[in-house]
Amino acid sequence: MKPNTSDEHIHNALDGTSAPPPDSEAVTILRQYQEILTALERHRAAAPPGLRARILSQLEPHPQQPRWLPSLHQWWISALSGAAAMLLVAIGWWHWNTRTPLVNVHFELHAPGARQVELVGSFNHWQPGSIRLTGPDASGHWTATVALPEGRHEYLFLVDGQQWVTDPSATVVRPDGFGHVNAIREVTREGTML
Amino acid sequence: MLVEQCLAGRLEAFDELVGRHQDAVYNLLLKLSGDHTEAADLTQEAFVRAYRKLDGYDPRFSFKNWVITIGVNLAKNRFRHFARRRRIEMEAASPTPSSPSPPDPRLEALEAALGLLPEKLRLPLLLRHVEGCSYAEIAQMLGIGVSAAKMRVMRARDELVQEMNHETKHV
Repeated sequence: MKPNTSDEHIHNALDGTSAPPPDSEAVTILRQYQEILTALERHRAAAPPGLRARILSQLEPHPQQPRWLPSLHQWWISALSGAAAMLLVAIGWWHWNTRTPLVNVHFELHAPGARQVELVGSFNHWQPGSIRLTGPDASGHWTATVALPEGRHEYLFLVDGQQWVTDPSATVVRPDGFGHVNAIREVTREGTML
Repeated sequence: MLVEQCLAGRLEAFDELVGRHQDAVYNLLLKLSGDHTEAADLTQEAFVRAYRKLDGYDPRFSFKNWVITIGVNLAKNRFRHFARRRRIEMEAASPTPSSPSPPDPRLEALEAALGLLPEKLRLPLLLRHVEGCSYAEIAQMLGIGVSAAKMRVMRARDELVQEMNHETKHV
């Protein structure tokens, strides 16, 4: 039996958004669709043995746990490692203070009806809850000043915990591939560029 | 959250994520590519890339769907190769060592019919009926509108059923 390809009732019934069609011919076609799609859903292949290990072997090794109680013949290795670690920390600290200073960046959103506005972006691993804007002021604006390192940062505002809003003042934006458009702020030592 | 533990340097947390989702990612990429070796390579590459750009992961969305999206994008770059391989396999009408034929002839017909669908339709169909994604999720993963996602799934179902009817008549 040739299926009626224009019959949306069949597809809506398959999606569970409407009841099965009333006439017997349509019910027969629906069953044919269901049988084929069920076979597609049930016919599943498991990943081959060893794939998980292959994937893990491609990743950077897990960092070694520190040895707090080295054996006597290894004390000099621990001492050298400790000294090297201290040196690296000192270099990192110097580098951070001289090459990547934090810059205060101002964010603002006009949302007079909002109960809460959060700033969520690459700088806080897209985790809501860490940066809340203050407001609204008399004109309905919410503001926050955040210390960010130099570099390119993507972000969105989260209004009332559910609505993602692109910064209307952003001059550079980028679709994130998930249906939203991220605003982009380029932070330099002199301040924000965009 | 396992992703946060990975970012903190715990590789075993990522191992756990691989263990949870590798079957789903592999199964979808196998149905998309039609080749076991290619699907395993794509799955491996998708997880490795996900690990390396984990700090760009957006936790508003499912980790599994994110890895699948990475795998699908990798697969799209190789689709000409896939299409050629499918044709060769079908013309040869004999199973290859890397692609054993299923014992059930109806499943064999289903795989053949699936392979004849254009990628533009096959992928939304698989996301909907193999992974159980909503139309909104499909739209997000493919960068298309929700109505377009629904339309593609409907067309894919119609063409799959028609191909199955055609295959069945010729078995």
